[in-house]
Amino acid sequence: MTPITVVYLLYLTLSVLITVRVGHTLHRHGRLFLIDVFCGNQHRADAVNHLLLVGFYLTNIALVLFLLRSRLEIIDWFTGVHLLSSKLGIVMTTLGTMHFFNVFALLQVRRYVRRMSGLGSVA
Amino acid sequence: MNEMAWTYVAYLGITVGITIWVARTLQYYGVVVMTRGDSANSQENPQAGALAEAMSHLLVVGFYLVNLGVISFALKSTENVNNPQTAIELLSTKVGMILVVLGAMHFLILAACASYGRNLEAKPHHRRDRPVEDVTRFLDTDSDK
Repeated sequence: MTPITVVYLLYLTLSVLITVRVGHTLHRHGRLFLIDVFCGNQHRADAVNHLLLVGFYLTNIALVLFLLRSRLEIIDWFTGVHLLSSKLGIVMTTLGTMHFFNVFALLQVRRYVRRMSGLGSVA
Repeated sequence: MNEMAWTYVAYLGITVGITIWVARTLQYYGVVVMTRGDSANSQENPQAGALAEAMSHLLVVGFYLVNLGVISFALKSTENVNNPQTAIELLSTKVGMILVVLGAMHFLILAACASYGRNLEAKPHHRRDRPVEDVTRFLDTDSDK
């Protein structure tokens, strides 16, 4: 195996591991938050939660595959580590930023739902 | 191992360690900030405590993603390190950059915790979307004078 193959394999494995792990964590802990967003409507919250998970997987896998190609010539292990870390870094930073955008967007939805329904109690 | 490899190992160890420590601190004290000093399992509003814990978990996952991403992305260096002096210089520049990012993210999450906690408060007069008050009663007192 050439070093570039090892780097690609490692990159794909690590990206898929991060995707599955983070997606699972967000799916589990985001449920309560979504139920709060939709004023206790559990069916709606679960549906949105599932759709968000599918969207997360799709976007992440697309980003990972899109960023796979590189024009760098791998000659030694240092270049391999550089390539791997910079690619994983881009993927993780983008995912994290997207996650924050999602949370803030859902907070806006929460405020909107509450204003429309005129609900008094929040928690 | 040469100096460059040692610098990388030290950089990763220091920055990942600090990230984990800050994330744990944020997750613990974020709940306290959101529940306004109540413990997470207060009897008055147990649902707010559970919500605060879920929210802090969500925020900390994003914190980990962004910080580990920036750490990984900033690993590469074109500087030539061949003696302890250049190694220490490179290490401090890199760790300093990561610490600035960490600080900015920390304040972002703290602001999110504070604003969500304001929403969690049960008191209706602190809520931003409270019903509009009837202001005509102030007009009556003016006309009496």
